[in-house]
Amino acid sequence: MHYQAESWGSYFPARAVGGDPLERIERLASENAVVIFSVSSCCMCHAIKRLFCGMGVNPTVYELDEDPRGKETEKALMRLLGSSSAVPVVFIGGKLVGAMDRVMASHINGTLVPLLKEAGALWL
Amino acid sequence: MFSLKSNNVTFVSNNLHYNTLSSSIGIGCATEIVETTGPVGCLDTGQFISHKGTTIGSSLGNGHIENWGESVMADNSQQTDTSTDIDTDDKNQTHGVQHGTLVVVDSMDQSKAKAGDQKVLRRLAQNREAARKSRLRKKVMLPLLAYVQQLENSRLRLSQLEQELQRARQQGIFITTGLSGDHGHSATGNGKDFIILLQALHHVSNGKKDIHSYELSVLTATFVDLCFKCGIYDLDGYVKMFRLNTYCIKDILHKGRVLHRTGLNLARSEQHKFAAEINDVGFIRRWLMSDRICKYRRKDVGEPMDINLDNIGSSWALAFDMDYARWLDEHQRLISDLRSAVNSHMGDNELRLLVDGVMAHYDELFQLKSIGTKADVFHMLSGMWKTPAERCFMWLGGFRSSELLKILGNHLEPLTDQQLMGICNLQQSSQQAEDALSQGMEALQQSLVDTLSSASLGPSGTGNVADYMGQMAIAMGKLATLENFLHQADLLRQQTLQQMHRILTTRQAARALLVINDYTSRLRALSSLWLARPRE
Repeated sequence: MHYQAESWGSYFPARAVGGDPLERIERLASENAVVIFSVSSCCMCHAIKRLFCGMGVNPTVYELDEDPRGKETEKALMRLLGSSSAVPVVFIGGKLVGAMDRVMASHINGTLVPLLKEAGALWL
Repeated sequence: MFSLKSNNVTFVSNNLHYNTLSSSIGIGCATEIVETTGPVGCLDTGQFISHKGTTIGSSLGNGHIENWGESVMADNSQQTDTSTDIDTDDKNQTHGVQHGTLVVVDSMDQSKAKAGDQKVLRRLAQNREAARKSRLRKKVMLPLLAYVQQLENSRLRLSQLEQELQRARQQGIFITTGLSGDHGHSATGNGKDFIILLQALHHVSNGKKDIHSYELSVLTATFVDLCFKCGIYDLDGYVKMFRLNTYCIKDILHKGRVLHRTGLNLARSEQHKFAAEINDVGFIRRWLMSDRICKYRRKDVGEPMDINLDNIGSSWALAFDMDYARWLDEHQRLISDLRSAVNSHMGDNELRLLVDGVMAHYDELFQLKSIGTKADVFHMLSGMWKTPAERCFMWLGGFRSSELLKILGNHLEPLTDQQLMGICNLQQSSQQAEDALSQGMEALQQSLVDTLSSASLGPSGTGNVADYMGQMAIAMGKLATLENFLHQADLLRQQTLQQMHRILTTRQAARALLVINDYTSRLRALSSLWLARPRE
């Protein structure tokens, strides 16, 4: 067992902890209608949370600085978004919407609300 | 320079539109000012003055404004000192005298009138009428004259700035305060050195003489300034430095040329990178401090002085201000074209071209602001490039989208049901986005307060320097997110405009753009009038 752990060094830890970060992100994102990855001290994250709350949506927020696997999740998000800042990131209905600029753009051009309704996060 | 039209004015007697005039006087009088210098300044009083010949006043539908304006302007040109006139009371009747055709008021004459004499009665009535007109004229004219005085000063200042910029272009130096600072060496040698240095720079940049880009000017000035402050004065040193590190200078100069040449077409990421590089004078400083350069430093100068980076911010701010002024100028021109197209009932196809042109021009503004935000976020936030009234109602570096939609309000009728719903949704979503960003900003401010007021920064003797530096670093990080907020706010504004454009028909969109422009013009006019109001 011990020998196996050493020779499979690069694989074992991932499996032991439960999947590569990207998979984990996808899994978390599909568990709820609106999922926001955030950092508790980030003010832009605060703004995006206020935006959803103001619309009457109750998002599921994962604070990456309070997450033991936060660092790798952040790195994975950075790669996913292709930008230097990992948070905030919004997933609606399991699908990636994007950072603040994308969310705001879709809200202004009227596509955000239908998306939310489709995901069951908004009624009426 | 600043020249005023001086026409022969037949005024007052057949022009009794005081009521309508007094409410729109600020805009009207501006239209006849002919200026021969370059673009319009974004200075406080000058902002709504368009270029030659545009009649902004016509938007208010009162053609008589022009006459009024002319008379005032001509009046002003004949007075050498308006300030003393403003303070005196009834002596202002001299206004009338200078225009042969103006009615002269002399209320002292009233005592000579004898009751019962028809002719005298008529003359009395005339005098009273004239006195009333004179008082009204005074009430309106004095602030106008003060305003014109201020305009003239602003014009002078603007032309001074333009000249400075021109000179800087020729010499490649942006004349900032830092350069003339306390270097402790003779000033006489520097001029020649500068020119030779700049020739070397030109040589380095492959002989291209066309270095208009103010970024290059700023970089050059900063670079030279830093050299001075590091004790590097001798010409040989400069040239050697350039040869040693031409790749670095060339690279930046090249980018500067690219930025200038392609202007706003450079990909946003590139712009940010370039702007960041220019701002990162740390790299210049590190390079200057490096061992390679050491041997060129004069030994008798001693340690390099603290490098003052204040100049850079103000140079950028000034550059942005000038760019904005130019943009505004062009915007007014496009709007007046649009206005005449709407009034002449132009066909939809041609109208669409004009509307699209204005929208594309707005996009240019947002590009400009994007660069400006990266360069000097505090200047953008301060709104010093806007007039005072605009600044007062500013939100996060610009206009409030939701406010704009409220202003449009009834002007867009008739709207289809679908359009109405679209506009309502747009207003609601822009309001929500604004609220979210505002709350984010509040959180930012609060966290900054928390950081700066943390216990470790107290005056206690056990103040830990490392702690202080740490907290400062955190605070710096928080300030950096300011840029992001400003950027998001600009995106919001841009997207609101674009969505509005999508919802409305061509004609409605044209009307909307005109309404928006009228509103902001009036706000600017309000600023000017307010600044020029007579103080007790």
